[in-house]
Amino acid sequence: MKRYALLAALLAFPASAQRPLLFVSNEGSRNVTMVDATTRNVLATIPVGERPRGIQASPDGRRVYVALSDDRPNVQSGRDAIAVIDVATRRVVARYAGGTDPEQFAVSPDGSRLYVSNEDAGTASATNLRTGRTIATLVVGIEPEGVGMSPEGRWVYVTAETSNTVSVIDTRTNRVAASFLVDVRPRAVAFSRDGRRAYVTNEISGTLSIIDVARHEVIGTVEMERGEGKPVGVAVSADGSRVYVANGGASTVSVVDPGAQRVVARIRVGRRPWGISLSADGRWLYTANGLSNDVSIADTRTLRVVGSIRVGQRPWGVAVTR
Amino acid sequence: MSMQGEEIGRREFLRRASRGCAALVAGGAVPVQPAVPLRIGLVAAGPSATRGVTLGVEEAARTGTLFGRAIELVTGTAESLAGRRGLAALVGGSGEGPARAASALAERAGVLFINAGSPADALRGCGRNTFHVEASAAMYAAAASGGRAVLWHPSLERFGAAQLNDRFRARFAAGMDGPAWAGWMAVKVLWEAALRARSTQPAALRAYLVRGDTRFDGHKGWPLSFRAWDRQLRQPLYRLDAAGKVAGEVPARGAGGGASSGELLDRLGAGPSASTCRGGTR
Repeated sequence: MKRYALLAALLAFPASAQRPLLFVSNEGSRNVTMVDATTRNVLATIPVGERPRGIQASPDGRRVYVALSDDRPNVQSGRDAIAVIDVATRRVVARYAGGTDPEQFAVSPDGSRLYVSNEDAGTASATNLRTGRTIATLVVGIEPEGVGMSPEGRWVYVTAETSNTVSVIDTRTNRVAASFLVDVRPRAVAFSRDGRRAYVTNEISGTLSIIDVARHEVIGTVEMERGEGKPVGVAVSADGSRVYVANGGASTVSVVDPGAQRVVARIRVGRRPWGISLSADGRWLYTANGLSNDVSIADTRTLRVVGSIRVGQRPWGVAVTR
Repeated sequence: MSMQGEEIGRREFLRRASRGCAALVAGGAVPVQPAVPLRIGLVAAGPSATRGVTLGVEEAARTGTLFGRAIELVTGTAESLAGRRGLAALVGGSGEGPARAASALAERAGVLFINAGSPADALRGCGRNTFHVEASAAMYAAAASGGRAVLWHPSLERFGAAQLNDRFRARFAAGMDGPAWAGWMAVKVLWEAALRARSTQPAALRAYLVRGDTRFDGHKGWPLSFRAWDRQLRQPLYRLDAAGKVAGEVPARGAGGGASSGELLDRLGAGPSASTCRGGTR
């Protein structure tokens, strides 16, 4: 009976605003799995045509942005794009030019601007999402990769893998305001909710860089998994007291206390976790596991995996709506 | 920042390096002393290694624009280059004879020599300023097991190899082979040392290269570093089949049980007790 009541509730209201949903980009099967985060049931498998990787939900939970790329990494084609999935209709409703081989991106809190790294060109570009026009193309480091925006939308950090750099874009001027070095082969970047700290994973050195955003300066470097974990995905708890890092090479999540600058716990998850996200209330942690084709769900109170969800082939990233 | 006579941890080191660079750019101010370009001399390098060095220098110059730092490549004979004012390092050395000569000149002139072309075991461990990004003959022999092993291959894709191979092909319309990778990597290690150490002085660069916790990304997926005993770059090699295709990586990934990647890589080639330097200065 309870199940029918839930179903009725789902049908009566737009799904987006009511219940938290997970969206998982499956690089191998070229689709996005939509999951009810509460029941952990798969609600839909949304075909996207190309290879999806970076994935994010809009703050209102009505749209999901996903980076799509074709099979030729360094050739720009019309199929390289940032696609927009409408949550209510579960369909791709818009596509924006994403440069060559788009992988990671950031959308401004008001949904008006998109920042994408263009790996091959060594640039980052800003797009006006209302007009679809590129409004700035900026030289950053070599092989730009991770893109993160501070919560109030002021700064965009772009990591670059070959040059070991982070370039800081001031979104007021759309210019590179600063650059600094991090550890070896920086990948993803995440900000704390108060915007005071940013965290960058460094794949080859197996470390996490802790950055003071006010000064755009590294204030600490934490080694995880003896430096051998190949960390990529990173997520920060709402209160900023915990940073969760997916170690793709070790199939674990490192739980870092950023104040003490040390690893405080280790959670064993599925094989080759890449993308990582937290539920809005911070209770649940989700990892997209590229080799085990599932999403691990960990309870952040007990720091234990409590379940997993079968998704598509080679899941890359996971986004959670509120 | 003084690199010598001051013991600082790696994290503190990274923090300081980062702060210096950020301040330089964020402030928009001209540094008190203009940054000295990293000046590198190219010696006895074949066409492929020269292309690799060229790409390395172009990429370094590009990163340099972010930090207000410059790199310069100069060419000439080893003799003329080694004595040149402001030179930080010689790079190249195709074949044992030219590599030995460049090493000797570098040691005498107090600059570094990054061997990007000679696998001769007899050069390993010779001279405190001589580093090897080319693998040693002992490493190749250990990796080949009957067939042939290479330093790099234009068909490699994982760990950013596809991106590097594509950049090289776009620039030179040729595939990146072992010598080209060695040339590129030689410049990369020097440039990273200069940025991290915030110096272009050979002594500061050397101090960074030999630090026990320095790591480099050669787009091979492993953290690479120089062995303390012979200043040979620890790195995996690629075994080729009879048709010349990559048949495997040596050491095999994850083969070591509990061994660290550094310990695994040290199983290739000469160990700490076996410096193989002959006919040079130890």
